[in-house]
Amino acid sequence: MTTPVSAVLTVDGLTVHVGSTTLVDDVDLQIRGGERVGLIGESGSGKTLTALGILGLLPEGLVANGRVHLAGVDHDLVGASERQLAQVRGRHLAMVFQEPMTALNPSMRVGAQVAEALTIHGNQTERAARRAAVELLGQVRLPDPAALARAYPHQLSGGQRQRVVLAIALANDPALLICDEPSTALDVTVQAQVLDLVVAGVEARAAALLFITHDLAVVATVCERVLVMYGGRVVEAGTVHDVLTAPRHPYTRGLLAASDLDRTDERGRLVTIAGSVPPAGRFPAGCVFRNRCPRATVGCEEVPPWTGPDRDAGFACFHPHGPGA
Amino acid sequence: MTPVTADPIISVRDLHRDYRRPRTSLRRPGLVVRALRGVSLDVAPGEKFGIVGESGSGKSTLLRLIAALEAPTSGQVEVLGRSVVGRSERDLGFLRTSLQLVFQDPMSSLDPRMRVRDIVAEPLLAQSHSRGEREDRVCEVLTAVGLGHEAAHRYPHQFSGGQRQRISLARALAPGPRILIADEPVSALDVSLRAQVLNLITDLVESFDLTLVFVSHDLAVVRHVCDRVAVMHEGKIVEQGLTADVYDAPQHPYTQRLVRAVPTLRRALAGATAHDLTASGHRDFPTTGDDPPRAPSRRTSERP
Repeated sequence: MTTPVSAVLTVDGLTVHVGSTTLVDDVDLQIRGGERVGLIGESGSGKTLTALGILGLLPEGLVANGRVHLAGVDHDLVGASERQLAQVRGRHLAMVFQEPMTALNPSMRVGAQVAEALTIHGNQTERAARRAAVELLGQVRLPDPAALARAYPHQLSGGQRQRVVLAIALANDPALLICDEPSTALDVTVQAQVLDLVVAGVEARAAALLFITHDLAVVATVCERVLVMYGGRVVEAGTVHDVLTAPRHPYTRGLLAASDLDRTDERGRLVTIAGSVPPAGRFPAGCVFRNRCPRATVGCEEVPPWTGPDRDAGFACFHPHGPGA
Repeated sequence: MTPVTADPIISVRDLHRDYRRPRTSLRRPGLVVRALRGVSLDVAPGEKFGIVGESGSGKSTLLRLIAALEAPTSGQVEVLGRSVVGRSERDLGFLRTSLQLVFQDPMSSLDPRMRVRDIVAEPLLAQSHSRGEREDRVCEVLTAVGLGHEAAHRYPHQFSGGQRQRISLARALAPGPRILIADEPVSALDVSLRAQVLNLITDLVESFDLTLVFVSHDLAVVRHVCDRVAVMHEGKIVEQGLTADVYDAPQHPYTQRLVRAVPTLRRALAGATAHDLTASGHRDFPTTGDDPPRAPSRRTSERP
């Protein structure tokens, strides 16, 4: 794992607050060029807020602290002005969200929307950009891209729309692509195609990928490394293989057991995690998972330190499961 | 387990349903979408029957016709041995008590201005129970779905997604149905909640002696819950059989593509990539390479 490739994205102590409530707590993360890293966790674990914090797209009232450095950008993304961020987003850093209809302009033909991404950030002429847009739509394997470029978003299916969004995201060959549940709202066969395109798109550009999902099977298919979030903190990290075959943190273990539909008890019931994810700001102090954890003790009222060689691999737990268990 | 041993509790024969889309031209009538094209199936009492398909496959239309929420263009639907086609709402009382539905998004199917006790008691109002009987029944079903009776006085927005789905289940159970139809009941839920709700559905089907019709796009969930499964595609059932058989040895090319497209942890850890999920290896199949055609709100064939 010690490739000499330099980091594309370095996140250092990213914290997101609203008022006195901490929503994302001290997230460290590094992604190198060509690396595909997954961020997994349930709703309310802070994975989307982490992405929005990196992008500088947090909703009104939420404040990010910490450092976010992106290769090729000479200033910190946290605290950067909107003017600075507008230069970065879409050129160095691109994103694909879950719902493509909200990302596309409903009153603009899709070809023009792809071309817009090119003219805003490059010095291409309108005409060259339109031609390049058709080519990009072809790259995401949309049938008859020349005709499709003249369609409006509502005339396309969900899968086709998500491909248009991906074409826009990849238009300027960004160094980092952030995908937030890009295939969750799609049918399984369409999801397969979109995932394939995301992986092919970042591979062709040797770009870094930060892939957010709640689906363990999807993250295992797409990514090489994974970070598990719960209660706004990274509770475990490592290679997909290590984390998903020999989880150390009880939460990761619970998540894996609950998603395994082939594993049942003697009554044919699935394994569950006790309780449910508390609302934001209602997580216990100390270890955020301790009120649902079968291994919790009084000692867990302290925040567990990170155990592991670096922030790319390790866990934050006082009572981890043994390696290879 | 033979598929049908007793008389079927739900019997569907050669069901067709056409929808006419709004006209887009003054000269031509709107296009006809054939949502169901000759569907036949039998569900035995006590069976857990799964229906799998993607958007536009006709699975929701099929449910609406079985529940007599709308009428078929042609074909027959019998529930508990009685035809539900062509009956007036007044004649459907037996169906409204014996067949209940649970939907994907509990928030949109629970009235935000009603307290949980009124939501759960609502199906009982039509059955002329006394107030006391209703209160007892509400308490009973709330306990059965794992919500305390203090939940009765609260409003839906005070509950999490998983708890709201429990409220939907409690309301469905209140009139004492024999058939429970669940339309994507866990698709909006997180992994740990999904396991809890699936366990609850299995528990309820056992303890209330229900027949379950479970609709999902997720073959793995259906495999866990159901004994038999029907795979729908473009308004037809393309394959039907015991869930394990259909999942392990799919016969129809569409089922094969569907099984292949579902990412699984085991295959991913064994090295399967995103490309392996796609249908590239099955060029012979007609819809390969594009999204499956769906019912309304699609325009694949008539772009400008």
